[in-house]
Amino acid sequence: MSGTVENLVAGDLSIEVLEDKGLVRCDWRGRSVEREADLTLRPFFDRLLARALELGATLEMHFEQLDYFNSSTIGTLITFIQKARRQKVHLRMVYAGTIKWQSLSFDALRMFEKSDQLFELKVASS
Amino acid sequence: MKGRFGFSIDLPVRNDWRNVDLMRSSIQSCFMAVFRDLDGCHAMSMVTGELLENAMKYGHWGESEQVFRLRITGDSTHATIVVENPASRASGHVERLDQTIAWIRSFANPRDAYRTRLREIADADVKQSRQLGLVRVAYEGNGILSCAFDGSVVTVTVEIDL
Repeated sequence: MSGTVENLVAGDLSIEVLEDKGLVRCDWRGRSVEREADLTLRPFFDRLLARALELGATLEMHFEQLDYFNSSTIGTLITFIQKARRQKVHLRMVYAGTIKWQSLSFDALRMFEKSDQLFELKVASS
Repeated sequence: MKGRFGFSIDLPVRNDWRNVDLMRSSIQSCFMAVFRDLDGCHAMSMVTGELLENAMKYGHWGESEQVFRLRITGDSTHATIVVENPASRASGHVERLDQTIAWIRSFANPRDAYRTRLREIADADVKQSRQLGLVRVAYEGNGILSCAFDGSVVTVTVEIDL
């Protein structure tokens, strides 16, 4: 039993975790600008994956309210996508298609969507 | 400065990681006060942030060298963003910069370069950004990168059409 994952607050970034009926939802807010995003985010992501496996839940990350992330965060998200796929955890990332930087950043991640449908990108309904 | 919307920013920046986001968000706020195009303002601030991160991570910082320079000039249609920081050829940073810029230019478009770099990071299976920030500048910021080295200072320049 890994237990509920606590919210993450790191500098100007907060990620709120909610569990609801087969879903572990994470709402990103603020700015992810750490020099080594991996140091903060990877342990948090590992806890999320363990919890999702325990519950047999889908992990859903919402970025609509995020103001900015740096390239270090993007690198960490990519390794997270790969790890979730290896562990057969269904991961969905939801972004604001009306915000150009989010659209550009997340559209580029579509290359990681495969026929196994374990990773999915979704534009938020406005 | 050119025309009614000409602008020029020239600042020394202390080598303190907190200053990256302070400068990035300040640049965004400044340009949001001038221009209606929020996407363009975000592109300029993202490019500024990634260049500052690059300077702080890879600059040759000694006890007497703790400040580098940010310059942004342009008008309503174009911006030039320049970051100058101390550098040493022995560190390999200047060579890596040259190689990364040449590598980006070897692709038909910046999107292909960016996707290739993402794939490399995924395949490496470890946190290995490999100057993803510069490739992001080219793709997301639609910036044209160049760099120059005078023996002690490296200058990275990005040209953006707004």
